[in-house]
Amino acid sequence: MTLDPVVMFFIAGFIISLMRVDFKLPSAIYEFLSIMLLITIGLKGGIELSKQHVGDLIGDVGIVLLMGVFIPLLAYPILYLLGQFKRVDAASIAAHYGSVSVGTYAVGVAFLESHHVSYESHMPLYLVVLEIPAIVVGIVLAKGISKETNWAEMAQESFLAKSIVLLFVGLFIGWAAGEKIHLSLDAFFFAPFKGILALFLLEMGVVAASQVGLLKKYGLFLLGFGIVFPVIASCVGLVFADLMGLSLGGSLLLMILAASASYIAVPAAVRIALPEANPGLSLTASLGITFPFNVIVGVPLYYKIAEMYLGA
Amino acid sequence: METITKIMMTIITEQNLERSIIHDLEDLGVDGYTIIEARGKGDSGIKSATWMNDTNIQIELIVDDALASKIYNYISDTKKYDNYSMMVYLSEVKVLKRH
Repeated sequence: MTLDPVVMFFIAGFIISLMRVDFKLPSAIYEFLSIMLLITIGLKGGIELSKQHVGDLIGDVGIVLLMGVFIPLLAYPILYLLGQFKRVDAASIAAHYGSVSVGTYAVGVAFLESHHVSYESHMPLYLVVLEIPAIVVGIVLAKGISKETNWAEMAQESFLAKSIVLLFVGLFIGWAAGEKIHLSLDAFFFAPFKGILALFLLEMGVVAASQVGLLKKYGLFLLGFGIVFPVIASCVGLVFADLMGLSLGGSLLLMILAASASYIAVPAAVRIALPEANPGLSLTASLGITFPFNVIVGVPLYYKIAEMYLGA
Repeated sequence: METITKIMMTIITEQNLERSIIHDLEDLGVDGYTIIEARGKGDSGIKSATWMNDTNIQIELIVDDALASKIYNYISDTKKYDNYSMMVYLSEVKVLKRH
């Protein structure tokens, strides 16, 4: 199987950074690219939602929420008992892995498009849904249900995180405007999707490589966890996808959502809610190990697993 | 040239804290400040600003002695910021009077 060009951009960024070439996208451009990805993904899902009864999806949204609670609960004992991490660090890493990465999801979408595999287009709704529960589970794992937790501030940081709001804006506008959006916004949002993703991944490669140095500091267990846990979580995702009766493409995307770890919304929320947790640990794992693993190896691997499981 | 002597308080800390620290400062009576995004290296590691969560901010306030001690006392008493990197320093500045 040949690599998708967008993935090659990621690898290029990674190598450039390891060669110590002084390259980094201006942060405003990086932010612009992520805004484009979030809104485009949101719009795609919203247009699809406009074609169906949103009420029919409530059951599935519930199942996806359950998955979002289950994955951090699965990660925590592995980190705490096997990895010997401090309770708060184990909980923080578990929260990162329970949540999702939009970048990885976008790579999955690009993968399906190049393989001409269709998928349930309301998947972005689950992307929004999965951002939240893991953060709450992580905080409860670290502190119990404690009065110290400032839930209002936590909610502000997580529910109103920029990434969630932008996805939601896309979903809502897509849903309200429906198919006719294609007429007016196609050229700006949908046509350049892969180009935007390619540039985004180039920068992510640079950022991921800058985390590599920290690996030595945090040890082999974290490296192993960052690679093995996503594969386990993807299988959990597959079981949930089966439960919901998703197609092959939809199953792959749910597996990717299960396998990916957050590196934007959760780090910010956890830094506020669990200041004692070491932010370097979870960011190195999610950004330095799991993100590259998922982008390069994980996505095609999960596709193979899904194909075998669903017998397609 | 007419000047007034004031205290410039500089707080370098994590960007994540911006909302909460500004809220605290305003409660203490600060009515103006400047925030600059910053990068650098210190006890808590390199803040390269290559990543959104990896940025520092530098908050500058021009205040009088009384308010400066009030802020200083608050920051030393509260346990809120114990686990964050934070550096606070003061300098005397001469502020130009505008006519």
